[in-house]
Amino acid sequence: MIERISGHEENTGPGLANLAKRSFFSVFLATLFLSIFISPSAHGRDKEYVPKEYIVKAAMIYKMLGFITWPDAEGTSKNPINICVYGKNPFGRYIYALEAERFDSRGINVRTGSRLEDLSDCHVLFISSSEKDRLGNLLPQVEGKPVLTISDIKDFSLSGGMIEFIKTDRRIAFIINYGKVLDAGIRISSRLLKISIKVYDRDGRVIWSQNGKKKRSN
Amino acid sequence: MSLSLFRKKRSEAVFFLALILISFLSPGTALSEGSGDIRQYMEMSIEELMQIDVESVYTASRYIQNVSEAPSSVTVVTAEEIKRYGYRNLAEVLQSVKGMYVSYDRNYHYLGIRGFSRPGDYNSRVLLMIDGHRINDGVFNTSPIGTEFPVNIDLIRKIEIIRGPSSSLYGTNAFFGVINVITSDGAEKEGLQASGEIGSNGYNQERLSYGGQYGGNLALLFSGSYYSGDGRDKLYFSEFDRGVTNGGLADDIDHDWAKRLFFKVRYGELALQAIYSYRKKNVPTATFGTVFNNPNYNTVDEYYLFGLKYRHRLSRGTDLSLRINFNIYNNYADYPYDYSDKGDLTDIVINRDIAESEWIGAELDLTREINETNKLSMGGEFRDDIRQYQKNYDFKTYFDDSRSSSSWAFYLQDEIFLRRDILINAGVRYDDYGKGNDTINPRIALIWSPTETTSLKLVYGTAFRKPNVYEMYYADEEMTQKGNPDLQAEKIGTYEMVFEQKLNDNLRGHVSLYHYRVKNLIVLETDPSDGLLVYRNSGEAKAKGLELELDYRNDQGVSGRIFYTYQDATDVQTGERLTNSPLHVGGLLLSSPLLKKRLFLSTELIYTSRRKTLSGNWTGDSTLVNMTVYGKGLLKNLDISFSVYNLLNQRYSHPASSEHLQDSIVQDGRSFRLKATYTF
Repeated sequence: MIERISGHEENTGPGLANLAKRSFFSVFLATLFLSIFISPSAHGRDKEYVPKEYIVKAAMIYKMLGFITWPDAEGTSKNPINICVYGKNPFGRYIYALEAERFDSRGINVRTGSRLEDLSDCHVLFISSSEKDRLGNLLPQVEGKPVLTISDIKDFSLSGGMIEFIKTDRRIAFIINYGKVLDAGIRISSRLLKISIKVYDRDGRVIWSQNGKKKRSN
Repeated sequence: MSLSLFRKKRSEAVFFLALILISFLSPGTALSEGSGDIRQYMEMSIEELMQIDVESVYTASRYIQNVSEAPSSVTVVTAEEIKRYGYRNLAEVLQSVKGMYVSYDRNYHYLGIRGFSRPGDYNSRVLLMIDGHRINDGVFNTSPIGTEFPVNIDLIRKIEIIRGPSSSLYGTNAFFGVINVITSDGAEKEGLQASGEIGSNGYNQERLSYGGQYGGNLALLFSGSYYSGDGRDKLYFSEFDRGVTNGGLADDIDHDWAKRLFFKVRYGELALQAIYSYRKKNVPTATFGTVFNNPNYNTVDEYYLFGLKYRHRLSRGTDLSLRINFNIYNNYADYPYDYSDKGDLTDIVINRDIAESEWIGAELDLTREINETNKLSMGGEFRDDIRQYQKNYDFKTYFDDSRSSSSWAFYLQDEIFLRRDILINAGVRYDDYGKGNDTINPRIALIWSPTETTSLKLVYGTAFRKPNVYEMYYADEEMTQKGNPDLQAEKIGTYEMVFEQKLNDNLRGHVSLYHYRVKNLIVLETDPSDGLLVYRNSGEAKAKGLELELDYRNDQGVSGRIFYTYQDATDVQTGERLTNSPLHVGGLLLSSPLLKKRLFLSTELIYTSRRKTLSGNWTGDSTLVNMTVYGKGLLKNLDISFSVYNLLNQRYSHPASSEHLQDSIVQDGRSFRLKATYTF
């Protein structure tokens, strides 16, 4: 058995020709793929990777529009719905896909960035988790105004926000602070409340919970 | 010989190259509906969106992807599960996962994957990483999974377990699988936290951690912990029951100590991590012919791990990640030998083994979405083992061996949606691991997802493990062991089919079928000509297996899984079952809230069928039941858990490796642990 193994070993020396071939092969591969990375993308817009979680969340924001009525809708407004993403945009290009849609014959505008001047102009304000420490400054700017605030910052719905995305096991769910929604003069369909994990009142008391299917009247 | 081998490898590489080129040349518009398309989700109802599985995994492809799109069978264990089931170390987590089992020889824990765990193997056939930083050392290439694991289990955010060959991405050691332990950071563990544990057999552990986030960019986490366990008071080994050796009783020499320090700071795109751990274990088994029942037989494992990671999103949608790390691993073993002549008074001399490893690693990864349906990654890795030192001595030096080596590698991987429902993930890696040795390892996965709830994966891949310097060079002047510098790398080829089906909102099914064949297997043997232990490429093994799992989770906090593993691993030359390879492993895990979402009762039952020992005997089968009651936020910020391990007080043992006189090693009976954690 020992002889067999040492027999193999005799021939494994690299040899100059072999080494040269290997090096050539590696350099060829490296050049080929570096050139692919450096060359400009086929598409103009950034093709950054967006986790599926945020693609689904973007779609959920779009779907939520159907359950929300803003006060300006009563004047049969044909103005577009403004969806603002404040802070680092986690949805990437996918959030712009919403602009191609219409809602109640209203168009949709998407605005992103952290230099949004007039937040009260937003119908939906998504606050990115990058702004966790600035919540205390941001939310008062839209306090009492018909701006639906959404975020996945932990305890957002107890910190003055309206809709908080949470991840339960492997899925996305949400918590609603109904008190804050009412304060803003926004109407929200009971169907959306029913599929949420939890509904809080103004003071953070649970008035509906998916968990115990319990309701407590105030 | 080597030239034809090279040609063969090259043809494989050309095949992958062609595949990738085809993907670039194919028109992007025809394939524009990838899984990443938001339109398919916008057509769903909000209730349907709430059912979409968004569980993600990083390790399988070196970027974050959905588990159903990963090119392998994946299990993710979360911090929540670790708390609920009361796991004390990595070994306990891994034995509760399908396709894995563990052996313990009262010094180290050894991981078996898919029917494979050779006695004498130091967990070098699995790659272990902490936050993507590989920790397999430069002497044994070992994966520490017991109390020598450098990070306290409370600091783990999740553990990603990838089954099957991953050398196409990670090179050596990624043979049967990859385990990536992802730790928490200061943003998740804010504030000061103190934790204390006590348990039977003198078990106690204390931890103090502080985490904080300052502004959007800076987060840091410090943690220190101390663990000690007395182990079993009296351990009886019939093999040593010879009167002079204390009637076969190892008396109070099963102690285990560990201390660990952890520091992590993240500033924007930069992350720095520093880890220190020291673990000392009394060895009660008198291996390598040492004196029985001697308290001076100890092993020490020490890690210093420093890692710097930089992640940056380049323009035009390209992600870059750069890692640099510096590591030290020291292993010391004190062996008490009796040097007296027969009949004389005992003359006990401590013989010492030293293994010291220092290495520097650097990795660069680039990931780019070429278009909506095509994602390409490439990367390079360089590792310099600047010190691979081994020594054995007592009053004289028997072995003193200092080496260094370096290796480098280059990989590429492409993920292409051929159609909306068909995905190909193909990768190949070239490794040059020194002295003119090189290898090319591909992996290709075809993933078909006809619906949102079904996915079928077909995977083929190869992997390798280079021989480590311990196997090649360790020798102690013909006392017990000799070296074999001619060792070659082990190779494995694996075919696998994975079927995943969502049965309803709460239930997922998983079926996995695999076949693998290992060549050039490095086996610790006794050379009949001189009676010395030696590692040889003498083995060839193959296995076929089936893994079944049902996984249940509902919104009320109830979760559980039931799994069954059939693994028929045999020695190709003899056709016999491999040693330490149970044919059947089954598990039943259930965790449910007792009181709202505050108190949880979690029970696990792990059945392992008999295993063959080195001498051809069989250990009995075992049914291990562990139960934990875990209270979360019971009193404001206080978490309390109480666990009973081996509730049935089952007596069972694991096969021993050839340095043991024992054929099998007895495991612990019933024990408990109480743990309290308070966050200030």
